[in-house]
Amino acid sequence: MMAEASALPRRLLRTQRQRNIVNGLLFAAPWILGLLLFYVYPIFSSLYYSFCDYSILQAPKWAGIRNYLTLFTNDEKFIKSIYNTLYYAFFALPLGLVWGVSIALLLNMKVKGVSVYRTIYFLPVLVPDVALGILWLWVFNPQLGILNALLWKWFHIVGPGWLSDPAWAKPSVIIISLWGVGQAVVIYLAGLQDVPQELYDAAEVDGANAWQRIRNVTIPMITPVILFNLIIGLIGAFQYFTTAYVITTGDGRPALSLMFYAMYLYQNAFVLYKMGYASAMAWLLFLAAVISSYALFRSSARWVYYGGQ
Amino acid sequence: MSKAITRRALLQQAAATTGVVVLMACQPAQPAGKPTEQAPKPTEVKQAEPAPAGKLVIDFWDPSTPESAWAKSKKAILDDFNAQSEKIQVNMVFKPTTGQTQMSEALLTAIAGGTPPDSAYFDRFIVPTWAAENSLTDLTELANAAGIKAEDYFPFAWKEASGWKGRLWALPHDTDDRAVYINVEKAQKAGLDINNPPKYVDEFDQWAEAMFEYEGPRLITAGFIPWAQQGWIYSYGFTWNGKFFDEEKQQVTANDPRIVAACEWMASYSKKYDIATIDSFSQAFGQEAQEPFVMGQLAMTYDGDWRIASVQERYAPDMEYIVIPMPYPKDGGRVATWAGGWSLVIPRGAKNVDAGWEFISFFTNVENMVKFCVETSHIPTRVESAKDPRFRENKWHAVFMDLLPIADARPPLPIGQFLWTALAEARDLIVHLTKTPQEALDDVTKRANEEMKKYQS
Repeated sequence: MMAEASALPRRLLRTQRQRNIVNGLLFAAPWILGLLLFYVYPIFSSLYYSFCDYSILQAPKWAGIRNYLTLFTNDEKFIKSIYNTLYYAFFALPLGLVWGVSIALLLNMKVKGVSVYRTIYFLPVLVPDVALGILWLWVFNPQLGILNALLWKWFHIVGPGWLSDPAWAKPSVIIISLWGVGQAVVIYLAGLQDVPQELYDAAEVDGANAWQRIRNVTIPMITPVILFNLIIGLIGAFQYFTTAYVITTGDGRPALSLMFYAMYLYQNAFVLYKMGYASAMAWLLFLAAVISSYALFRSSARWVYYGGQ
Repeated sequence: MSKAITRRALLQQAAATTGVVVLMACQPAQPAGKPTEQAPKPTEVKQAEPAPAGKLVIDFWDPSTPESAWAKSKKAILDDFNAQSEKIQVNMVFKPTTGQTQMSEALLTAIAGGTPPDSAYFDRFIVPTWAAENSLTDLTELANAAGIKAEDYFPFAWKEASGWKGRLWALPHDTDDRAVYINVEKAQKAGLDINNPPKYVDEFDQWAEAMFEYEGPRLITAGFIPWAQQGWIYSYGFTWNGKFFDEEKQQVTANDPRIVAACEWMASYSKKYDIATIDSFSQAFGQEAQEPFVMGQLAMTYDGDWRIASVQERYAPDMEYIVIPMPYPKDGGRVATWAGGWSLVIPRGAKNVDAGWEFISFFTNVENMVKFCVETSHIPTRVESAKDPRFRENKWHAVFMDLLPIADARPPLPIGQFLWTALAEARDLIVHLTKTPQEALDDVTKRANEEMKKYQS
């Protein structure tokens, strides 16, 4: 085939290559079109809209930086939604990390039926977010829920209002987030399996106990995986939406304690039709995600250990 | 690794930005406490019928679930129209409302795209917003020519339909209003004289207190919860004789001292009966047959007329109750209620305005309005239609009918939905004692007036 091609005149070869390129592009066209129409175009038009008043019904009207100005100077709810989202990220991420690594360590032990346990811990991940929200609404129901019933039965504690009490609402959704830690656990597990056995053997020979082995061998060896999960988790936390939307039917009750950033963005876009304002929020969120991911990467040089290097 | 992750981050962000488009499709309907007549199903049923030759075919977009009582009643009127019209054939097309709004995003995009239907069923509350956004056809001249005038309708309905620039943008259709339901058995058990119900709010508070019932520390029955069911800031703001909007200055005045006073009254229940207890208690409220007033968890409730047909007659036909207008403060209050409801519009850009007008004016004429409202237990907005004796057969429904002439509309403003959302959140902050009524309402007022500026230039 190659010999045959090289025997052909140069001109034809070039057109053959060109034809390949054209064919290749044609085959990739659905994807390219999709990318341009549904990603590139909306992304850049949302940047433009963020400087406009835009209700969809009428053409966007240029408003300069007013949307951004209003967000920071005349919108308490915006500040509140940032606070709520950071609060959620600040607790859900570290707790999820400790909780996820702990479960992964347990599931990495050589015990009988470990694959059954692994399945059990992964199952919650398969529950759709909407079902998850409704399920936990019932679990947390202060009158009829199983949680307060058990608290009373076992400890004689009158449980709090959970999702109906502004002071408890955010801790409650953080608990819900911990229930879905299975996704991260699977990735931690993969990381754990990669830790070379000889390191453990060497540590054991040196007299390290179990805790010291985890502290000085396991954790450093899985830091790349921890970094990965942290970044994915951080972006997920910034975009936290579905469960909270289902629980509060979108209004962030009680007392705006569950008004998260993405929910407020949604409200502006699809309840109030302030698309320009919502676009401005989306771009700020994008910037925040880029900057914090970058910061995490920069910091990783100091704490992430890549085995091969 | 670094490359893979930034790309992922970028894609996730891209998804969030474009997610604006995707999320549209999957939103549950807003449970504002009122049974909505729309299906949350995002399916579309087009009941196209073969049009007789020579007839102009136009569409009527409607949010009622196909095969529901509402849809059937509307369809019957539409069939009558098609039978009597020689030139026009109307197709009813189901377009559900979306998200937390009472509007259809299909209609929004159709108008923005320049391909709207020639008629649509439309939440009257958002008429001024859409009119201000230049998305509805001005019906003023058509109405004048047809002899349709303000006096034909109850004031609140006309106010909403002509809420932008004093022009007419919609033909009002059905409505609802609000009052207090009292459980007779609970009142008698508490030693209250049901034949002499409270007129002023201080007596009403005593009634509520008398009916709060505990089993040990556990709350069994709440005498009254101001923010349950239809207890919005609008509800009590009007009763306290507050003004939400200053016509002269064209300014939102949600921090009117009378409205602040109404909210302080709401907050007094949070303090007196402990908001955490009430919150926890109301989490057990169910719907339909397990609805709190029917279950005896609420002894009194501020709710709409629709409760009679959709809850009382259906789930508790033997339960004894009375209906009274919301009691008001002796100093400076008044008997008040507010009314919402639907209307028919011709979207901007409709190709057949005259045909659309012929249909919507037929649909909302005196007889058809009576027909629809009787069949679906709604209240008509036409004064003449409301005279039908069937609306007074149930003596408690008559209470709601009597309130119609004095019923208020929520201020018909282009920022109506914004103000509604802001006030609903303010109520939540106030009853949770997170903010004082003054603080919360000052904030609403400030933000709403900022928002108004867009429409005032």
